[in-house]
Amino acid sequence: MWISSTATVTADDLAQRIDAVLQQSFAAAQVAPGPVSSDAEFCRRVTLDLAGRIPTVDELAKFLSDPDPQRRSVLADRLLDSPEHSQRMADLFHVMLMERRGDHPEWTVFLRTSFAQQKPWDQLVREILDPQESPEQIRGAAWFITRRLEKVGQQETDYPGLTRDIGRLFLGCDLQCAQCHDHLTISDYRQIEFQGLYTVYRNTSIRTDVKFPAVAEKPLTRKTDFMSVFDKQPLLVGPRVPFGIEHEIPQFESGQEFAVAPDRAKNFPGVPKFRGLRLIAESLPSAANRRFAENLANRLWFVMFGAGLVNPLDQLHDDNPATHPELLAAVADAVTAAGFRIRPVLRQIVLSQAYQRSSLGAAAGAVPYQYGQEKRLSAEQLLASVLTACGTGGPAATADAPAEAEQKRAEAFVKAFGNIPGEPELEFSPSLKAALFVLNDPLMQEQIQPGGGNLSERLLQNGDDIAVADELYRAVLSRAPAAEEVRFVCEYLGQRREHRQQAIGNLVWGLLASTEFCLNH
Amino acid sequence: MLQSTCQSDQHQFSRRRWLGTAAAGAAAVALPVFDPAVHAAALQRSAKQVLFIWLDGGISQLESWDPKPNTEFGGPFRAIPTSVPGIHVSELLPQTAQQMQHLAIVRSLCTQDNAHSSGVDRIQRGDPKDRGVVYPYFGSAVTKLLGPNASGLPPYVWIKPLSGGFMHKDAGFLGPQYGSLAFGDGKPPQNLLQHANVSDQSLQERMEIRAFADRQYARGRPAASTEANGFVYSMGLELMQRRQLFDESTFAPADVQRYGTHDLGRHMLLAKRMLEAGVQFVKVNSYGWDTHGDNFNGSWSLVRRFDQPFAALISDLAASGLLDQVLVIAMSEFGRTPRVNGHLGRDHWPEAWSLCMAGAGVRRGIAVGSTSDKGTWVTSQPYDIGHMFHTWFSALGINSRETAWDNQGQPLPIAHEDCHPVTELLS
Amino acid sequence: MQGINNQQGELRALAKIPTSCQMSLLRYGLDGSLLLAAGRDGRIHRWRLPPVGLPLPAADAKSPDAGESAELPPLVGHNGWISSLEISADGQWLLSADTWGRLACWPLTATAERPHWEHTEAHAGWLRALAVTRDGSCLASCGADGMVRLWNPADGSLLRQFSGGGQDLYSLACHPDGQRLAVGDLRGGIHVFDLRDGKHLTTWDAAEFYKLSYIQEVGGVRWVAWNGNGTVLAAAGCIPENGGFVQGIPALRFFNTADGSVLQQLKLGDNQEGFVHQVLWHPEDYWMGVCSGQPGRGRFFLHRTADEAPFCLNPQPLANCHSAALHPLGRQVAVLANEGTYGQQKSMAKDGIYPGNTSPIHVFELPASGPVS
Repeated sequence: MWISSTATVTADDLAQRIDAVLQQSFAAAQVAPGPVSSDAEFCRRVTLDLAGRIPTVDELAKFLSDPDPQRRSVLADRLLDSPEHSQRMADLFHVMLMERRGDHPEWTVFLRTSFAQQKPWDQLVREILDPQESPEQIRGAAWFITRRLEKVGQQETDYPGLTRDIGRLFLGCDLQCAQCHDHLTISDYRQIEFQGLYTVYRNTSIRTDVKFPAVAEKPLTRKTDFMSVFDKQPLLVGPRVPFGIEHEIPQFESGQEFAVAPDRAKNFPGVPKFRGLRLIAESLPSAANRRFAENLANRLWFVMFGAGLVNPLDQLHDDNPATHPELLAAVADAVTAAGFRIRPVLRQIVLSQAYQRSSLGAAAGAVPYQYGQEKRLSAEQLLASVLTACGTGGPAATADAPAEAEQKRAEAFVKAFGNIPGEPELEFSPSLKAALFVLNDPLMQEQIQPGGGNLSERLLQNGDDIAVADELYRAVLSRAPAAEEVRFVCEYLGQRREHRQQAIGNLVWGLLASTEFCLNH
Repeated sequence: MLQSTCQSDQHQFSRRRWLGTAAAGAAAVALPVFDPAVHAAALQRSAKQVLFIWLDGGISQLESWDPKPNTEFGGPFRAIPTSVPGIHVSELLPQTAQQMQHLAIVRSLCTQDNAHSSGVDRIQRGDPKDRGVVYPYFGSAVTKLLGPNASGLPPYVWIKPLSGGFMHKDAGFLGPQYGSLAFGDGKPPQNLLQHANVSDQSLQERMEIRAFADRQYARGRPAASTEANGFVYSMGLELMQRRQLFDESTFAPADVQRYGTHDLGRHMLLAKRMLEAGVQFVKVNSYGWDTHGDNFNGSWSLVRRFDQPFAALISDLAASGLLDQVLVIAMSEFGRTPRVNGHLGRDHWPEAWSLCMAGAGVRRGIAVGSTSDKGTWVTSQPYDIGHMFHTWFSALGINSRETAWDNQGQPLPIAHEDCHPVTELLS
Repeated sequence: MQGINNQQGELRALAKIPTSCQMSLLRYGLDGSLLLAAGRDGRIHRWRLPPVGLPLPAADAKSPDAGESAELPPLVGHNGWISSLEISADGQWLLSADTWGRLACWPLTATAERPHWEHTEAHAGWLRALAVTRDGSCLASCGADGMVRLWNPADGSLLRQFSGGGQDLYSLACHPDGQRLAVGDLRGGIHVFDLRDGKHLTTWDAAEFYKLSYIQEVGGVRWVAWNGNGTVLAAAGCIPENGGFVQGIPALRFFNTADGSVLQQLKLGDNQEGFVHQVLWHPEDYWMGVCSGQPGRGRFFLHRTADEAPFCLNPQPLANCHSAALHPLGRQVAVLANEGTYGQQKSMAKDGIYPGNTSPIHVFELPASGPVS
């Protein structure tokens, strides 16, 4: 018996729908879902997902001692409303959209203010696809395009790369192989999907008359001609959103193409009357474009569950169905119904039993979502978590270091834990570089050095080894230690009485370097 | 991206080794039983190593392996006899000439690309058929195919001038973990030095505590994450503990003299150290070989400074017996034109050029292939780089025609399917 | 840039003599009726020229007519490249060297195949430069083996030998007084020796003519030349930017013989222009030189010491010049410049068609009355 999916899911009943669909799949596979996560597990997971860091000892204690049966949703709401949530979202989407191609202060402002204002996703995407000079806080959106227009050495401007990324990141479709011919294996990805989008972006360039990131457009006057390398039949296409309709190109008399004329002396490129960027910005990010909603749905699902409903995240097409098509539809519905506001959708996901399932007990051969899944932590989450774990007990003050030192620290963590530019960060891939960083970098060591009321200092001042074990585990791993772990710590500290400071430092390091710390589970 | 679901012997072996070094008074973890015979064969194959010397820019074959003195394009230099009767090389390789009995020269290379920017990549990737995937460089391919050896050191090390770091580009579709670890000017990667506040004992204890925490975490969970993480920490520790390997002050002065105090000499000496320590694939880069101008004075400087350390290294590897398990290759992306241009240089010439190889699986003391009198064209059977890849894989005990990559379900030949191993090069 | 003020108001091209291969050095012999070139085919090429005043073959002639200028049979017996040519003081003998180390002496218009005397291993390897004293008593040679050797030109007997300072030696020049010898090396050192006893007198510094680029030692003092009365020494080379291609700015450095101070450092272009290969003194108080670099770059120039820049450059595109020789009467100069194809030209090689480059000789007229300032 299948639940009818004719009723559109809204952002209020998404959680229920998620669990209902999954319950059906468990029943079909004749398995029982794993147990729900413990409070400690949940607290750590949701704080990392929504606030970008582990909980403080105080936050954990408060949550664990809260008698309210609704404490999980209360915690979720508190995190969603915190300024750290906007920061987390900005960081997350920065990595997703720019894939470690560097930073730009204007882009950072754009993302942070957008999420602080709870800007709906379609509007945010619109601002990226057709960047405007004002208001000032959104003009940095242009960097998405301008960064990709920058030339690398002697190579040509990578218009195909820019086109491809727009398809991948906003529609979930990697049209790279459709540049030269209809995709060999994916029937949806025809050459025209790529070329119609490419028509628009090959007219763009970086404006050189202003200091902030800004995109110039040449007048779009003619269709792109293209030909498959296989059948060599010449075709034409005008500007077109993939899988959408082709737009006519209005013809202007020579000299009449510009709404604002170019100014050679100032290097101002002018503003054409007919603009491909505006066309794309109007049609691509809209409720009418189902793929747009599905892409966001799939990516939000990936963030919260560690796997997309469709994998890889940029291969949404008919021959690559979702593991649970009704779920993809449900989340896409909810996203659309919420007007592309992300917060209500995340809230519903957090409230589902699926999200709250423990990851303990997972074994090879488990059915998807039967257990919780390990998720990679980003460099940003790792840094914030290290600062929180080793800090004074309150949430890591971002202003605890002068801006430049803070910047250097952030860069060092990205360098150690981030992927190479252009490589999406999808799975846990420990590297020698990261291990050496944790082993030897002064930035790690200075967190472990006792001082200023930090974790190491508090532990050093505590003569009770059992209490030390308890605080250590709660601070770093956000849970109480098991009996065996308490014994281990006490034995170790007992053997190292004369070098207690080093021993404390070693314990802190050992837990910071553990796999448990560097994953979300 | 290739998923690591491998249950092969090598994977188990490295996991076992990791547990062996890290465990201290810990609870036993059940290990799968593996077949000693299969394990031994895997060990033997994985004991092979490679030294890949890349002379970037195009060494002139006429000023090195295939001299044509007193011909129209022969240039100013003489040819000299070598330790193998009948084989002559340029006078610019006097010491290498004395090691010819260990070497195999190939004079009949004929390849497709005369541009550096594309040519370097194509040669180092074996110039496979274009299937829309990025093939791995030879070093990434070899380390993937052979699997980890017993050294615990990074499998693919690149010694080069200028900058170092973790170089992912080499790995192509194999994934960034098969990239190389580059030692810029022979210096090890960042963060290799133990922090001043951390004693050796603390370091050991930290690793034990970390391992304990991971064992706790892995209970009731799939082992993949803790294994992968443990592996890189072990390797990091191994590198730290072996850092005198790259400490130039520990090089014997006599060796430094023999190899030469210039960059390539120092780097080749470091390469020898790496090979002796068991690093599986060592690539050494030398830059500046693109002698479009002043080629002859340039070669006088460059070739002799390759000759000295190369001969010393071959001699050392042969003396220690290591040459039997190390495959040595010295090459560029193409050769240089017979015609001398107005700047007294030679330009790019992929039509007829040479490389030198030695060691594991390779016949010794031979010169394969020939070129015309003036060196303009290959007169024997021409070989493309695909033939070389087949030959090198075979020398390493890998069946180059039957082994294939599995790129997310797409099987891909490891060497160009229109080429074949050159049997006269194989012992 | 002022031009020379001769009858036409510019440096006038008189003739272009094609060659069969690349050449590296030009010399006039006898009274100017013999022109010699060092071949990169290991042969010494010679042309008989008509006396000054009679027409040379037209500048675009495909081949010289017999009787006007004819190529004599080349002298064979050397190997590799001919690296240096000198005429003895009395003008009767030709001294030649090659890159395999052989040194030979020939009658200037020899037709015989054997030289008058020779040493097959005058140096170990590349014998780079020769110089003769004006009084004919001494021939100096230097090479990549780092040695300087002094010979009796009459019979080739070795008078003396000494180390040039431990480096690859590129160039030599005898002081007009016959008592001193300047030797230029790879690293920009110019060593002055006493010819009478071989003693090292002093070393002048042109260190910017050298660079270590990765493992390549780039540069070298490619030519040294004294002015007429020996008060100034010119050193030629390039200021290297990098090896490989070799990108470098062609440069000259002028030294005051009396105290070794630098009178002038002259840069002759940008880093595509390469090396100054040769510089020579014109009795009318100026220098002439050639330089060659990247394809189509390089030039022939005339320069007065202490001027900011050359006062004359070649009047037509004349790239990659490698040598210049001054006619004894001082009115004509012959310049070697490269000609031919550049680059890969692969398809022709397969069909057996693969021409090498050549070094046609361009003859220019210099003005009778000297340069006008």
